[in-house]
Amino acid sequence: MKNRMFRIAIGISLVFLVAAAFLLASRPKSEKPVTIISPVQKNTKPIEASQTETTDVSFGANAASQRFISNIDTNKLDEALRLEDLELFKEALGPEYLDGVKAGIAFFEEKFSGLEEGEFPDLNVQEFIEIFMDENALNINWAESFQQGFRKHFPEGEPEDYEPQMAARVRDMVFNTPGDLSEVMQTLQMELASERDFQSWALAHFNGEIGQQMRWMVGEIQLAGELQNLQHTLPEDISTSFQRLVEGEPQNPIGRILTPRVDTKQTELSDFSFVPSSQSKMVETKRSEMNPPTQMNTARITSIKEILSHHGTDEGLLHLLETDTEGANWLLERFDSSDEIETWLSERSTEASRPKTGSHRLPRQPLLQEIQP
Amino acid sequence: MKQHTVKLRSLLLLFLISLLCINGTPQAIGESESKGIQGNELFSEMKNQMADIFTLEKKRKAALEASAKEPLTEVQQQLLHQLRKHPGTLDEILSTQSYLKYLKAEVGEAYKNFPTYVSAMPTSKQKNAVLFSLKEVLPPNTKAEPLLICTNYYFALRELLVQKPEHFFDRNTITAFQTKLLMEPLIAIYSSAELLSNMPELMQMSAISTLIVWTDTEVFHNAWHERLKKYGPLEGLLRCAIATPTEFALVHSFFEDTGALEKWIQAPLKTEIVSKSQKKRKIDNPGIP
Repeated sequence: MKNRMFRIAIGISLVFLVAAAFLLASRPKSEKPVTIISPVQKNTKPIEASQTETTDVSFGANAASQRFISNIDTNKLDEALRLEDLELFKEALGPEYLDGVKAGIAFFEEKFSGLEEGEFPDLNVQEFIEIFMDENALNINWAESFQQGFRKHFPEGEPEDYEPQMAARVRDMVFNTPGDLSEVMQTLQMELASERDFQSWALAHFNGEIGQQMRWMVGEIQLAGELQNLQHTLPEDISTSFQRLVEGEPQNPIGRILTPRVDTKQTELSDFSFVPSSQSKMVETKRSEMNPPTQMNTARITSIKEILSHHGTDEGLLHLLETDTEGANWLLERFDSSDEIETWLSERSTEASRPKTGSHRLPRQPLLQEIQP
Repeated sequence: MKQHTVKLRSLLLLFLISLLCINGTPQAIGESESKGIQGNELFSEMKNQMADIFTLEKKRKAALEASAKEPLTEVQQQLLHQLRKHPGTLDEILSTQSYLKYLKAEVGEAYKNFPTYVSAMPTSKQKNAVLFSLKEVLPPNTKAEPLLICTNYYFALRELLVQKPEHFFDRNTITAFQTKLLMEPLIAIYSSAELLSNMPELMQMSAISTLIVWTDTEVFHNAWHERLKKYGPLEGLLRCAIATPTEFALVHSFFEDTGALEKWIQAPLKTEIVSKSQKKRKIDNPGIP
């Protein structure tokens, strides 16, 4: 149990770790002056950095975070997390982080010792990052960096001002996501992992307190469930909620962060899919960045269902294709045939607004039917 | 500004069309399979894509062939037996209750007679079947708009290939056809800035759509040709209508009457059109292939 919790937590934490690394690595040089702590003046008063100073001062963080990202062998990391192989995990991070991994184990053991069933771990991402990063990174005030990341995406207001907006976003995603709490949690985690603005907000709002953020998200999922007359009960052992977070492609959070939004379709391509293997990942990433999955609220989903019911599935889909591209895209992202749409339409009303997501697709059908190209 | 955008789009369209001339026509697809295309990175990328497309299309074709040539099941044999007892033309026989009942079970919708089903071609169910199949084979995450365009193009090209095969094999005509029905609508979806970065995908859409039209037509034509050869015109056609009702009705819809359909099935499918100058050259130099 403890070992499993360790793996789960390390998976979750790495989401934040990589998100934070990206956040720093992608920080623009021309950002507005912000108050930060200089690495050479760690113990002195915060200074008001000029534009030039900001660039210079943040260089250490950029270099460290960029090096961290480039050093990770993501394939190996995927494999390590899938196989639950700690040695492979160490290999994936590289020799530079061997000590960090050892320290991380101790850190996690300490955090998880005495954790009651149903409790969330009390983890701070800054502590965790500092275990893995080098000396330059240690000089960074991560809390400040989180605030800077937030400001980059949200020029006005404070993180708490955006909580209702983010909560609504989470709830809307819940409306579109089938499954029990653990499945919903898993899907949301994966979806949100690659949404920079959400990660920037979350890091700033929860100040890197992973447990707090998890608690907040579970609350929102449960609230969304209540709005749908669905009960999302908290599993007795929360480790089951996050288990699949670290169980390999496509759920693996690290892969999702490093190659944002690699659609689950990527791994499900049939033998007949015309995607050159050498380019598929690149093409998919580029394309998916251009075409983020369509999100729908319940009212829109109801409207789509009404159109399909009114016209019939096939006529209705063609009608949507011609008149409501967004609605048609939403359907095409989730279903692979008219039959699947019909099945969804005929599901019980409580399930009606919760179509399958990419990770819960039905197996693809071979292209043997007549007429089908 | 608007004028500038129009000019830019026209240039891009021209560039795409020239690429289309090289990559997207039936001859070029065939040529590139054996020769490959020399050129810059974009061409190199497209060449690699084409190689993958051919490999996968071969697999798909084999599976489709196996399906199209499958012998009739026992239930289908019984239906054939019933239908053979009915006098009348093919359309009249296929308008009997026994076939219409079978058709309803197959396609999920009742039709008052077979010609009604033929005139409804392509049905919305069939369009969606093609659309979802294209979704399967086109680049991942291809959105609704390009999918619909490719679907419409698929049916238009199927008709062209059956009705006017000489146009299908004429580079200028097919390019104009593709430009009007595929590339122009596809290009209209993207902004000018996106066009260049999406070019490989656009080319894939063009090549794949064209290739599958050819494969589907060829596979079903061959399967039906064999059935007619083996069982004679009437029983052969009945077997085709039973084994592959949707496809049979679709191709039927391209002809004015059953006689023309029968004639098309019985003739070998044209795989190339020899131009007058080529004919003359062949006559003058019989040794040259």
